Amino acid sequence: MNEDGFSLNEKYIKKIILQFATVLGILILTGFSLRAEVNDLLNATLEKMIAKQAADLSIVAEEKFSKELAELKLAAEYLSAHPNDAAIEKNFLAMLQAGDENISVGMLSLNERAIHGKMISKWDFLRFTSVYRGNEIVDYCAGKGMLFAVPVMRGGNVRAVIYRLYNEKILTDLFGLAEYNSDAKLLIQERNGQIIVPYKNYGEADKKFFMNSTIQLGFKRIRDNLATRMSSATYCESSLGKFFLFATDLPQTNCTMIGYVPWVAVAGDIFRIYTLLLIGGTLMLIFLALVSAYLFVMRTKAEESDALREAKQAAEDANNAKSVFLAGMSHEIRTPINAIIGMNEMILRESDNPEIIGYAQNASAASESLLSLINDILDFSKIESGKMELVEENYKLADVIKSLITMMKPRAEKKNLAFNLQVNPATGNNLFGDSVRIRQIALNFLSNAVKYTRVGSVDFIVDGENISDDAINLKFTVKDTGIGIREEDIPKLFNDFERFDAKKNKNIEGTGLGLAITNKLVAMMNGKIEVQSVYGEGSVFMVTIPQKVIGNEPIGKFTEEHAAPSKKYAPSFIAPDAEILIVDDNEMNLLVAESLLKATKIKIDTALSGMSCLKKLTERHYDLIFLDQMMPSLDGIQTLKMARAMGDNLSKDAPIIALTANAISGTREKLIGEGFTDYLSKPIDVKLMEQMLMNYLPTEKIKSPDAEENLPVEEKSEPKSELINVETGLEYSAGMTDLYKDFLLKFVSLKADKQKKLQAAFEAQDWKNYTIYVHALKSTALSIGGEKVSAAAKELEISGKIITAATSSELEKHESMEFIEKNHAATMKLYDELTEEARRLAETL
Amino acid sequence: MKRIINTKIFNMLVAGAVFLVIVLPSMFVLSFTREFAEQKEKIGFIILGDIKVAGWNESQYKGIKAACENFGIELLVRDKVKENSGECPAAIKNLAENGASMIFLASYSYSREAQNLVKEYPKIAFATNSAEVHAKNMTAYFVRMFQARYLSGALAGMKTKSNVIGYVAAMSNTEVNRGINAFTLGVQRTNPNAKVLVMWTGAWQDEVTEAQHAERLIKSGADILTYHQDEEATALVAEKFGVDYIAYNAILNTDSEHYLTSVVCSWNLYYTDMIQRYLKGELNSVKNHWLGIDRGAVMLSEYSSAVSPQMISKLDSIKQELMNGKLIFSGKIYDNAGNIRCEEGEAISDDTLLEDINWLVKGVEVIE
Repeated sequence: MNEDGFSLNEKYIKKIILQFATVLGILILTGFSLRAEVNDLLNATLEKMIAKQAADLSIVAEEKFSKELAELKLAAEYLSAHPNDAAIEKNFLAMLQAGDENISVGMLSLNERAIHGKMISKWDFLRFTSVYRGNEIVDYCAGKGMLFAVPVMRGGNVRAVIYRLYNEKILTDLFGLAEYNSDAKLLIQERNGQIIVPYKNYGEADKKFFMNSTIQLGFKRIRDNLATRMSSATYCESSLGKFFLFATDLPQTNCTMIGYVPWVAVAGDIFRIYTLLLIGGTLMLIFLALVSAYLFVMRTKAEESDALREAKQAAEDANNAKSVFLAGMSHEIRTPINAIIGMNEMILRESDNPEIIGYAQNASAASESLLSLINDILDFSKIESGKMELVEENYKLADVIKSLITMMKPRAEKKNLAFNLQVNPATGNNLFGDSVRIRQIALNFLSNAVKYTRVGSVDFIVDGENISDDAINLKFTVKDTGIGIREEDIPKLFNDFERFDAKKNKNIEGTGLGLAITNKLVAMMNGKIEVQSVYGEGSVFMVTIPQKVIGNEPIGKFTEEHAAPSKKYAPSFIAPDAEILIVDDNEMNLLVAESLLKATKIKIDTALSGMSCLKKLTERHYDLIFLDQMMPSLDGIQTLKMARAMGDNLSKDAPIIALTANAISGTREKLIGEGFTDYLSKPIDVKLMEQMLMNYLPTEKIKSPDAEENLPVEEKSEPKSELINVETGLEYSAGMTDLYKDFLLKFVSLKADKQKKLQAAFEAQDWKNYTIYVHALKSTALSIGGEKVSAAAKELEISGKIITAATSSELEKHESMEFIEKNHAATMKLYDELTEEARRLAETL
Repeated sequence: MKRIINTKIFNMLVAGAVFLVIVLPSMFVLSFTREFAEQKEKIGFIILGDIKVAGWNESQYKGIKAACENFGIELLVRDKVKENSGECPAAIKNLAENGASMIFLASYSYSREAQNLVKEYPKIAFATNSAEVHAKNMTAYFVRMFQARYLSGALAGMKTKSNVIGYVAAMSNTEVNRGINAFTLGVQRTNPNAKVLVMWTGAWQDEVTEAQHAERLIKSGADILTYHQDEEATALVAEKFGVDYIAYNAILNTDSEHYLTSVVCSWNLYYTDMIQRYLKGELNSVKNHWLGIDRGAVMLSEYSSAVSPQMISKLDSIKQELMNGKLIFSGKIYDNAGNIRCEEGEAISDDTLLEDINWLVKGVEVIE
């Protein structure tokens, strides 16, 4: 079981790890794909950002160009205002040139003739014609430089053109735009791709950069984009590294500004942040995964415990069903056993035949053993369901020991075992505890010892260790020289239903529950059991139970004063002055109870129902009442409550003891809770009933039994009778003479009334009732052995039935009526004679 | 067994949930950003006539449609929008509401009508074909149609026998006057003795008046007609009377030899250039844009069989001059009242040509 559980667990952990790894794998894959996506997204965003910056740069460049043009325009306006003044024109142009040899200026007429300075070819500067139409231009020609030109107007007409041409060499200084990012490189290019404005340290490395095929592809992509956009940027991963390339067309020119910036300079920091976020996110996800794994495990555990709980519930339900079944069965079994025991008791009491007594004793032993098995099972079911409780009271240790000896010594002697008793005289005698259970515990060890010992002895040692002023550890030690127990078996000793050496001990009786019950009882009493055993040599069982001591009377020297069990039953007391009432709806039960208590000479009154019980309670005082719990109409509890509430109850203070066939645990509390003084389980055990009476009857009414009175003289010579067959009568009285006598007397007492009714029915020709009455006569007569009367009554009953039957013919009816009329008187006479006979017989019994 | 299934389902659910939690939001974010980037541009186009009727309206519409398709831009058209009726401002508002980021005002008077409204939409780029109104976010846009007029005038000068050429024109404004002047200068280039008779119809579209005027011009001795109207009534009259004619702004669906050629412009190129400038953010950086014959923006359509190879050769050489930058309005130019408009060694500037031509050159006679 444990190993199985472990392997399952390992498998389970493997499964969880696998699942965790799968989830983690998914996360990592997702992370990678996300990383690529985010990377692309980031680069796309940066491309846009850089393109925007490039557009801004183009505006800056445009402003620089505008400034340049504005200067020229100013000059052109001045020249427009002063036409045809060559000196002024020259002066102005010299000013515009500012003495820089890299700047050339000039003024051209419309018929493409230079007024001042050099001629400009419209084939070099393609946009130049536009000046003649009155527009300002910025135009670049590779190798020539950058041209700025404005028209000189006369009204709405263009009169001439002035220009300023910058040599390529100085373009860097003039328009090499301040590097907007220290890592970025910028240059201005003709729209068709010719590099025109190199940045200052433009060198071989930069040329190499622009010649790189990947970079060129990137710029081609940008040029395509520029068809519809002001600016464009692209991310480029070349053999030279990762770069952002960008370009923007300068408005109103034929120029493009291009540039590049290393990827790290732009995206490095952002990417670092992103990486941090990614790592953080990944950690969070791993944490999440761990948490979910943990939750998963917890959930599975919870599920398992749910399953366990369900299983436990199912087991408990099954166990309850078992308990109920056991209780029911035990009840069903106990009822017949008690009948057996009761009848057997009667045999023992009333028989003088030693053989019969011997048989009865065997039957008694067997029944007792069967009953103890049933009781074991009941106890076990109580313990199992946790319903076993201790009934603690004051008791005398000596009584317990005495009863144990009484029970065990004969058994030991029967097996030729020496039974040695050793009692520490200093042990306190008056103790407080559950004496019944203590006796049960000791009895269990003792009977085991006797059971498992073939040769040798059984020693029973009783001792008491003081543990405080008012408590001792009561110690029973049972030593035997029996078969012993293997060392490895000792721990299993107290397991349920466990028996060792099954083969060897197969003829040993018992449920195997004894030690289990004992162990649990000892545990309930906070005691402990020690076992020492040598296999094959014998065992020692030591049980220690703490008990309270009342007073300090020691047990003293315990003498084995016990006698051999008497062959004859003797009541433990007599109480001729006591009067009790027994209430039961079953006449037979009443009769058994009355019979069993006859020896105590208690005056017994009976009632067949709750109602009649209540009635009797108002008529007379009873010292004790036995009240059946289960009765039709008014049940025991209802009767009890009404009796307690009744004002004219003469026996208000009398203890009321419940009689119940319900032997399952919990019954006692329930009944006592309802107001009963105590309860007695049915069928009645005469010893327990006597015990109950001794406990609850007023002590002044209890007397020691008179030995002489105890032995009723059996009359061997039974008077012969013609009308009564005594054997038959005794048969119907289960062989009990007393019972038979009661039956006889009852028959006599009922006769007058019954005969009167019979006669009345006969005279009134009420055949229906007549048939019922003769039927009753037939049965009651037979029950006392009045065979003749019974037979006569039977014939009358048959005739009555014919008369009342709907299927009978008139003739049949008539004949039957005649038969009754003829025989009625004779039967009545026989009835009278039978009654006389019965009375006589009863007196002799 | 039941528990195993439950566990499996639970695991699947957990895996699914983790996947969804991680992947869905990121997909959403990514797709959102893409969507954001892919917002489509819309261009609005407002025109006077019906875009299904051949002539000025249809040729313009076809041009802008092709241009928009080139750039993958959505075109929102509002046609039959009458001038000076309040319909144009309403159309502008409507287009702005519909998300147009650029609006063409494709009729001459629209820009004046919309003058104040344009300022209310500073984020919308406006383009107009009228140079009369300027705004920060509105640029005038033209083709140098007069270059093609000049070329057609050269053809007419070579072709006329009566030395009288009829010109049906809508009204006297800078655009029409510029066309008449360029045409006349072209005629005088090949035939200094020819004169051009002009009649005003007073409207861009008025078939009846146009037909009456065309007839009258023919009766006045014109053996070649041309016109500056949105539709082709003049051409039909010329055809009817068996007179040669040069059409305007539409390639007519006829193989008549009287139909010498058409003065046409490539609206496709025109609008493509304009939209490209808009997309590049350069559109509104200058007041005017003027596309010429050097860019292929204007041209003469295929000549009829009545045009001799010699004539064609002459025309080709003149066309080449123009493409090389020849200025039509340069050198000594007198108006028909005898005032000098351009001195030797001067050229009339674009600004003047666009905004301030209220005279007709010497050689033009206006018939009232």
